Amino acid sequence: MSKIYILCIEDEPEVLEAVVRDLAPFEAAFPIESASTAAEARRVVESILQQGQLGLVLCDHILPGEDGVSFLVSLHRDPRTTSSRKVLLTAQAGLTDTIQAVNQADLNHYIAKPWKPAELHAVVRQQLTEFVLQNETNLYPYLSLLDGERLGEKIRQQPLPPDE
Amino acid sequence: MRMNKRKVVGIFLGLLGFFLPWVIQFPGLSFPGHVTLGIFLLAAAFWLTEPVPIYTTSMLVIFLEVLLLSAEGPLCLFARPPVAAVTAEAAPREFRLPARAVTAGSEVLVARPSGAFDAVKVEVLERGPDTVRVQSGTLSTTSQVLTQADHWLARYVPASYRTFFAALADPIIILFLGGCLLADASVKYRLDRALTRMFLRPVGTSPRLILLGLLIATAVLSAFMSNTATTAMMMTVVLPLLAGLDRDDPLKVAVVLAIPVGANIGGIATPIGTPPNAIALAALTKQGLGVPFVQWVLMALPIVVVTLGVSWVVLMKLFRPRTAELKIELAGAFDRSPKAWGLYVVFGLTALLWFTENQHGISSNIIAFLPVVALPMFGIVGKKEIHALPWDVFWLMAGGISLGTAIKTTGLAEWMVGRVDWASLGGFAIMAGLALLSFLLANFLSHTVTVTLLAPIAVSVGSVAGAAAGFDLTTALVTVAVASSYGMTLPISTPPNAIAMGSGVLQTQHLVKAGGVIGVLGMALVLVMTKYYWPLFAR
Amino acid sequence: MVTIPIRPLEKIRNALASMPETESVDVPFEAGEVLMREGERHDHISLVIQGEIDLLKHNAEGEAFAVGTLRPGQFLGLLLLSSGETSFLTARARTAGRMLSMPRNTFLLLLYNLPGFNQMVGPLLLGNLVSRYRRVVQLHVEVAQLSQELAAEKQQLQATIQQLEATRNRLIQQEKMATLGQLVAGIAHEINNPIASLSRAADSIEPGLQKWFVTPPRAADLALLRQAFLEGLNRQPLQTEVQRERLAQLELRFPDLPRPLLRSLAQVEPALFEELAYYVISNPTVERKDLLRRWVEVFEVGTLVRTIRVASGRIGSIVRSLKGYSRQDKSVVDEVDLREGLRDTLVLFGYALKKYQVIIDLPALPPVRCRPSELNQVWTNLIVNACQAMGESGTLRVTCGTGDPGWVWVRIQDSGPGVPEDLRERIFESGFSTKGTPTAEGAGLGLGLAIARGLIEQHHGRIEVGNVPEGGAAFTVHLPVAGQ
Repeated sequence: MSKIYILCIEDEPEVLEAVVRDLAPFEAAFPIESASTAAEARRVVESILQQGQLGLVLCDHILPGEDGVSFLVSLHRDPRTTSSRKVLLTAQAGLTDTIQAVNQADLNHYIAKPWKPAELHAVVRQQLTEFVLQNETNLYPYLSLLDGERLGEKIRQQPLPPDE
Repeated sequence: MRMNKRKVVGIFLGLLGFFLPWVIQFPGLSFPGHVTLGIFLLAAAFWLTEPVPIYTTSMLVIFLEVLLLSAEGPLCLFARPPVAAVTAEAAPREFRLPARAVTAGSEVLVARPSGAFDAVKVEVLERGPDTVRVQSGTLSTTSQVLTQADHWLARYVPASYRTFFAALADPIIILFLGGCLLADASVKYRLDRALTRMFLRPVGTSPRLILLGLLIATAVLSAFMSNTATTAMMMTVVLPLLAGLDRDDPLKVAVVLAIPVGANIGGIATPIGTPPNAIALAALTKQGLGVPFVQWVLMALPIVVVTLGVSWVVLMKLFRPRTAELKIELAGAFDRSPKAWGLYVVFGLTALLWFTENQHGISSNIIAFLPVVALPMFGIVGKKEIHALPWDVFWLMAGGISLGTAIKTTGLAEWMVGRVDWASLGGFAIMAGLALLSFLLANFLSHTVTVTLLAPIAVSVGSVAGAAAGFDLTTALVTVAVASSYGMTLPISTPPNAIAMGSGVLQTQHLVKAGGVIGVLGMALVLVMTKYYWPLFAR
Repeated sequence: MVTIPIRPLEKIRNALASMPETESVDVPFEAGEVLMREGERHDHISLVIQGEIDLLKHNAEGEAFAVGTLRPGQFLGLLLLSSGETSFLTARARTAGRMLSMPRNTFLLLLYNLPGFNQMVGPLLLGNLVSRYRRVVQLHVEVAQLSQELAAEKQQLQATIQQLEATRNRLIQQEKMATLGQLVAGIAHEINNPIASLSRAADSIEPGLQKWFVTPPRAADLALLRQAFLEGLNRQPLQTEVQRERLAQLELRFPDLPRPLLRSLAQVEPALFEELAYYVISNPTVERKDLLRRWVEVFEVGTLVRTIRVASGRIGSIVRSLKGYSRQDKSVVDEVDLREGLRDTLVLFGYALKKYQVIIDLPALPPVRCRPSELNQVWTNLIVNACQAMGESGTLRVTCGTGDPGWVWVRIQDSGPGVPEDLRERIFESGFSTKGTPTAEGAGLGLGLAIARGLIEQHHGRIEVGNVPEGGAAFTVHLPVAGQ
C-alpha cells in the first residue's frame, strides 16, 4: 500500500501551522507535508511521488512569486498528479477572482480564510474520499477516517477475495 | 502469469506425484488405484502450492478422472481386457479355457453384460501349455470369460463419467448454493446491515459489551453467509464507528480482530456456514450417514458459543481498551419494499424448514432448493446475483467430492489405510490426529482445500478403523471440518483475516497473537467435543 | 406679390421707348451676367421686361446670401432712386432677358414733371414697393423664428456640456472606485490571514488549557513545563524546508510516535530536544512519557500565544496604515514626510505586490506641503500602473531623493515593457490606455495617470516618465519642498 500524502502550501508560517494543526486527525492515514512557495512545493511533490501518491493539495491563493492557481494548474497538467484533489485556500474577499481561479485550474474546491475547522474537515474528508475511491482498491484502511458510507458502498460492489 | 519458485516447484511435484504410481508398482494396489493415487498426489501438490487457482485444480481432477477412470473414458474404452467364450469338454461341467484366464488362486473372471466381472472358483483338472481344463458348476457355454485374468483392468468396474460430472450437482453443493443465494439476497436488500444494527443497538456504550455484541453479530451472520462477505460487511459498518478513538487505543485492534474471529467461528454453526462443513457433510452423505441441518447445528452450537466467549475474554485481556465509553450511532432500518418482504418470507421459511427436518423428514438439501427457485422467480434476485455466486467454491467442492468417489471405487482408500494397524491406535487418537492435521493445514491452506484433502482420508480410515474402540465416522468428519475453522493464526489463513489486515489497523503480531491463542483454545475444545459430546450423535 | 401682366408691361415699354425725352435704352442680358455690383455707384434705374435677376448681399466674410429675386415688371436700382449712393446689393441675371434702362436723374425729372410718365410708371412703382414691404415683414417673422430655434439649440448644447462634465466626473470617480476596490481586496487579504491564524490559535489553545484543570501537573514538573511554555512563546517559526528535514529525521528515530507530535517536537531547539529525549529514553517510565506529552502540549500553548501576538500585531499595523492612507481631513494642507504615505500605500497593496520583487529605498526627505490623501492617490495610481505593466512577474523599485535645491523626487520604476517615445505625453491624457478595453479587474479606464498628473499639478509639482536602460518605465514625481 503506497502512502497517500496531503500537501499544504502557505507562505505565512502562522497560517500554515493552523492548517496543519487542523488536519492532524487525518495524519493517522495521510501524512501531511508543507511548503511555503510554489517552487518548494514542486520539490516536495517530487519527493512525495517517490514514496507514494499525492492525494490532496491545499494551496494558498497568493504566494510569493508564482501564485497558487498557476501552481495547481501545472499540477493538473502533470499526468502523475492529475487525479490529486486540489483545493484553493483564499483570503480574498472578491468572489470573481476565486471563481475564475477555480474554473481555470479545474479545482475541486476552495476554502475562504478564515475557515471554520468543521468546514475544512468536511472538504478534506470529501476530497480524500473521492481520491481514494478513484485510486485505491483496498478501501478498508480509510473507512474510519473518511466517508464510511460511500467507501462501504464501493466495497459492497467489489468482488470478494476468492474462497475460504 | 509470473512463474515464481513456489509455482515451479508445485508443478514439478504435481507431475512427479502424477507419474510416480505409473512407474512404481505398489503391491496390493490395483492399476486404477495407482491412477487415482497419481491424481490425488497431483491435486494435493497443486492445492498446496497453487501453480494454478485451486478451483482449476478441481476441474483438472474431474477431467483426469473422466479420461482415466470412467467407463466411457479413452483408457477404459480402448484397453478393455479381452474376453472369449468358454469351450465345453465332453464331460459334463468340464470346460477348456485359455491358460491365462485362470488365476493362481484357481479363479476365472466371468464378464457380465453390464461390464462387471464375477470371480468364479473353478477346479483345475489339467494344465496344458496354452489351455487349462477346468470343472465348474457355474460356468456355461454362454459365459464370456476374461482371457487375461491378470490384465491391469481386470476386476475394475469403472464408474460412468456421469458419476464424476454429477459431483457438481451434488446435493450438498445445492445446499450450499441455497445458502449462498440467501446470503446474496440479504446483502442486496441490506438485511445483513439491518441485522447488525439490531444486534449492536442494545449493547450501549461500554467497549466490552460492544466487543461482545460485535462477536455475536458477526458469528450469527456468518453462520448463514460466507465468512468473507460477513467480514467485509461488518468492516464497513464498524470501522467508521472508530473514528472518534485515539490513534493507538487498543480497542481499535480488538474490534478489528473481533470481526474475522467472529466470522471464522460463526461459520462452524451451520452446514452452510462455510464450505468445509458442506464438504464434510457431502462425504458423510456418500457413506449413507446424512446429518440433518438441525443436528449439525446442535453438534456445533456449544463449541461456537463457548469459543465466542473465550474469544471475548482473550481479546479483552490482550487489548485492554483505554476509553471507558464508545458512543456508536447506528442509523438505518429494515428495507420495507415488497421484494425485501419476499426475501424475509423465503428466508424465514427456509430456515424454519431446515430446523424442523426431524419433524417433517424432508432433507435439508431439498429444502435448500426452495430459495434457489423462489428468489429468482419473484425477481428478488436477478441474473447479476446468479452470476455473482461463488462458482469457484462450487467447483472446488465438486473436485473434492469426485476425488473422494474415485478413491473409494478404485480401492485406493483401502490400500492406503491398510498399511497401518488402526485398531490398535484407538478411535480417539485417530480422530485427534485428523483434527490436528486439519488445524495445521488450515493455517496455511484454504480451509476448503484442507477438508477436501482430509475428508476422503477420514472416510478411508473409517472404513477400516470402524472397529477401533471409540471411532465414529460422523464425529471424525465433523472434527475435521470444525478444526479447519480454527486455522486462523496467519493473515493468509483465511480471507476474513486478510481483510482485517487490509484495514491497516492491525499488525501481523496482533493477528498471530489473538488468532493463535483463540485457535489453540478452540482446538482444545474440539478435542473435548470429539471425546465426550459428538459421539453422542453417533448412529 | 403684384403681378404685372405682360401686355401692359409691353405697352409701357413701347410707350416709354417711343418717348425720346426718357432717354431709355433696351438692355439685353445673359444668364450669370452681373448687372449691378455692391459698393459701386449705379445711376440707372431699369425695368425688367423679360428674365429673372437674383439680388445678393455679401456678409463680412465675403460670402454671398440670396436676398430676393427680380421678375418682369420690377425695377432694378429702385433703392438708389432717391439717395443716389453706392449700390447696397449685387444683381446677377439668373436667366437671359432684357430690361429697359434710363438715367436716374431723367427718371426722377420725368416722374415729377411729366404727368403721362407718372401715370404710367406710378402704379408699377407702388406695386414694387408693396411687394418689398411684404418681403420685409416676412423676413422679420423668419428672423424671430430663427432666433427662437437658436435659443433652444443653445440650451441643448449647454445641457450636453453639463452631461459631458458629469460623465467625466463619474469616470474619474469610477477610476477611484476601481483602485479603491483593489485596495479593499488587498486589505481583506492582508487582514484575513492574521484573522485566520488568530481565530484558529484561540480555538486550539482551549483544549490544552482545559486539560490543565482536569489533570493538574505535579508541582515537581512545573519548572520543566514553564520552560516548555517559554520555549514555545519565544520560538521563531522554522522554514518549511528545515522543518521537513527535521521531521523526517525524527520519524526515522521514533517510528512509533504519531506525526503531529513529531512535528511539534521538530520545532523545539535541537539541543533542548536531545535533553528531553534522553530524559525519557534513558528511563522510559509511564510518568516520563506522560510528562513528555505534557511538555509538548504546553509548548504548543506557548506557540499559540505567540501566534496570537504576531497576528494581532499585524492587524494593528494594517489598520494604522489604512488610517494613514485615507486621512479624513482631505482638504487640509499639511507639512508631511512623503515616505509615510508611500509606506502605507505599499503595505495596503502588499497582496498585489507579492508576486513581484519589491525593492524599497527611501532615504530621509525634507517635508513637503501637501494634501497627503491626494498624494496617496498618486502613489496608488502609479503602483497600479506599474503592476499592470509588469503582468505576472517583475521587479518594482520605489525610491526617493532630493534633486534640484528646493525639490524632492519620488520614483516608481517597473520592469515592464517601458513606454514608447511617441506615447510619452499621450499616456497622461485621460482615456488613453494601452491595455485595450477597460475591464473591471484591470481597472483600466485610462484615467489613472491623468488623475495623478492633475493632482501633482495642483501641488505645483510635475511628473515625468522615461525608460530605464535595464528595461521598464520609471515615473518620477517632483514636488517642491515646504517653505520654498
